Amino acid sequence: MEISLGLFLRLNYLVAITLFLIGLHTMLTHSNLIKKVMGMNIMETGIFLFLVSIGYARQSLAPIVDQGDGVIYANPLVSAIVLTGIVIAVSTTAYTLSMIVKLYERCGTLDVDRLERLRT
Amino acid sequence: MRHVPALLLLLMVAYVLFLTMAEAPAFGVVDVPSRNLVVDRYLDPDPEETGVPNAVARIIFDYRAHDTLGEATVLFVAVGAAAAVLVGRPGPFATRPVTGTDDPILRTVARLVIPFVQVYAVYVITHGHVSPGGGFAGGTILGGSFVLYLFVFGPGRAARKLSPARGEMVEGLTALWYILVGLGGLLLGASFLANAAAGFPLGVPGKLLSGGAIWLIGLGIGLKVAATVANLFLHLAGES
Repeated sequence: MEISLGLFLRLNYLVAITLFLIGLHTMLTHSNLIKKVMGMNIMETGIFLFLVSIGYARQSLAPIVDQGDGVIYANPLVSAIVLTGIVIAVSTTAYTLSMIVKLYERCGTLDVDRLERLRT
Repeated sequence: MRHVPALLLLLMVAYVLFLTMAEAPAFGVVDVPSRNLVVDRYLDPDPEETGVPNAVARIIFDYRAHDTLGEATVLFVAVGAAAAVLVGRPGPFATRPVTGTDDPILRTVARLVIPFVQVYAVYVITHGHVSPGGGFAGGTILGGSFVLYLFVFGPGRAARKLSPARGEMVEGLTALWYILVGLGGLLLGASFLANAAAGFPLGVPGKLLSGGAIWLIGLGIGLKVAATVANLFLHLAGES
């Protein structure tokens, strides 16, 4: 009972961890490079959800600090960090995808196992 | 089989993560360790310090403006790297280029929606210091409208206006703008990227034209992100 209550009170963290694990699983077990990129993005989504969840306090408002006294605001620091994270995620995804396009043109396949065989 | 070691690694990571989560404070609790005096300082500073109500904009464009300059550089480098990898290739898109669609429903809806999307993007960019949003969010919306245009109408009709060369120019100029605003702080007798300390006019908090350097940098970042999104799409779609 206590365990299930504890899990329920940490539902956001649970979902974030699940997303992270789904992404990691996708990256590890799929041999298609596009699917690996998708897995990486799902992992990043899990991390962003975790960080944003840390910043939330019950009944807190978005950190636009002009809404009167006695109001709790969400933690603005994690929002700023998540913004940085999203920018990095977009950059790595874009660069990875462009490398994958080039690789497909050179080798005609996106399958890691086949690329491995091409190399030897 | 790679599934067995993958599953083992997954189980190990899951074990560590669940143990950590069990120790973490419950979701939504106000009194958590991450909410320390730094956050209080960001949320409730001297009003003369930044002059904007949006605490996230305060952090990314004032207190941690150096960080954001690094972020802008990361975007810049990402587009440059993608361009370096992709430019000048007779790719699969060369034989099957992005030409747009003939579907009248899609074309009509896009024609109706794109102006509103762009006006909303400009609103989000210019009001980033007084409401949620800001340069990064608004720039993404603006870039998304360009991508929608290219998808529906193809690059042919807009090739002159929406070319990678022009996108690169906008990106470079906005990065330069960011650095120039920072150097303005230096020139006015404070540190690099200083805002109120350098004497940028803060205006009345909550009004559109307020916040000094925060507003100026947000404007540049909005244009830069829009150019980045459009540029990445053009490069990946095989335009050069």
